[in-house]
Amino acid sequence: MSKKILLAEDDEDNRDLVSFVLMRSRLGAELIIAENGQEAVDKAFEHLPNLILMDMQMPVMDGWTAIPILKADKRTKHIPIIAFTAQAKPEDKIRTLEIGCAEHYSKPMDPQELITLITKYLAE
Amino acid sequence: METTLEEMKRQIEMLSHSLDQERKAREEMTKQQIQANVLQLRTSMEKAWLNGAPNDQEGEELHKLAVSLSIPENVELSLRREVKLKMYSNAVKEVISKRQLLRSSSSTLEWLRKVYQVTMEEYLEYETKFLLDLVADQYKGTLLYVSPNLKGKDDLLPRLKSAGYAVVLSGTPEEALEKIEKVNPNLILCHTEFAPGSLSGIKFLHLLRASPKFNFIPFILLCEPSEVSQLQSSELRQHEGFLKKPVDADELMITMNEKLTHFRDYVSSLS
Repeated sequence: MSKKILLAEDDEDNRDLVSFVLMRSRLGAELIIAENGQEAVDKAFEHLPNLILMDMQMPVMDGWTAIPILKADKRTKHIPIIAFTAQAKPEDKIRTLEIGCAEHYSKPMDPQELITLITKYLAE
Repeated sequence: METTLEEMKRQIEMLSHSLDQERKAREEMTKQQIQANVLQLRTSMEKAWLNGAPNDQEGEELHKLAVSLSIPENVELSLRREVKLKMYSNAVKEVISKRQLLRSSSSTLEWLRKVYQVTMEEYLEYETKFLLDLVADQYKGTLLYVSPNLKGKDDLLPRLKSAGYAVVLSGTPEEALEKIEKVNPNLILCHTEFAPGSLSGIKFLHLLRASPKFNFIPFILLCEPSEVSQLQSSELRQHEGFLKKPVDADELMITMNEKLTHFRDYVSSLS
C-alpha cells in the first residue's frame, strides 16, 4: 500500500512545486492536498497520512492552531509533522518543535533536501 | 513478326512499369509503418520519462516494445536520448518558472539532471539550447524606462528584469525620443517630472500620441501624489495609464499586463 503525505499549503505555486518534486522523487507516495489548517485537520482524520507537511501561515486556520489539534487526537498524534515556514528565525524553529512538530523546514525549498527529509520520515 | 516483337516489347514495358509501381507502393508502406512504429515508441517513451528516468522494469518494457516494433537498436537509443533531453528541458522550464520559491536554482537544476539521468556531457552539449529555451520563455518584451533617477537606487529595475523584460533606460524624455526608433519598445514606463528645461512625462506622452508610428505603444506614467487628480481627469486612452509614487511593484506588474493586453487586442483587431 502506498504511503500518504498530506500537504497543507495555501499558496498554489508552492503546492505545485511540492507536487512537482514528489512526482519526480519516485517515492510512490500519494499526495493529499489541503488549502488551509481546517481542511488539513479534516483530511488528516479522514486519510490518516504517514506524514504531514504543514505551512504555518494559512487562512481560515493556521498551522499553529491546527497542529495542537492533531497532536491532541489519538488517531493522529503519532503522525510526524514537518512545519513549513517562510521565516528562518531560531525562535520559530523552537516554537514548532514545542507544539509537537518533528521538524522545521524553512522556505524557499531545496528539492533534494526536501526529498531527503520526506524519505527519512516515511521510512520510520 | 515485327508486330509480335513490338507487342512483346510493349508488354514488357507495361510489366516493368507495374512492377516499379508495386515496389514504390511497398516502399511507401514500409516507410509509413516504420514512422508509425517510431511514433508509437516515442509516445510510450515520453510517457515513461515524464517525471524522470523510468525504473528498470519500465525501461525493460520500453525495450521489449521497440523489439516488437522491429525498431533497430541504434534508432531506439537515439530516440531514448532525444526524449530524455526533451523531458528534462521541459522540467527545467517548469521549475524555473517557480524560481522565487526555490532556495537555489543551481542545486535544483543539478537535482533535475540526476532525476533525468542527463550526463554532464549531454548537459554541456545541449546547454546552449536549454538556455535559449529558457530565455525565449522568459522574454516578455522590451520596456523603455524613462527615469530621472537612473544613478540612484531604483527598486523597480530588478523586478522588471526578473519579470522577463529587456529594459532600456533613458534619463530624460529627449533621450527616450532618440532611442525609441532603434529600440522599438513594447511598453514605455515614464516618470512625470524631470529636471527643469527637460520635457515632462506628460509632454512626452503627447508627442508620442502625435506620431502614427508610436501612438499605440502602451504607456504608463509614474506620477507624484499631487498629480493624481489631474491625471484622473485627463483623457487617457485604454493602453495608457498612471501609477502614484511610491510605486508598488505588484500593482505595476498588473497595470503593465493590463495595458499590454489592450495593445494585443488592438493589434489583433487590425488583422
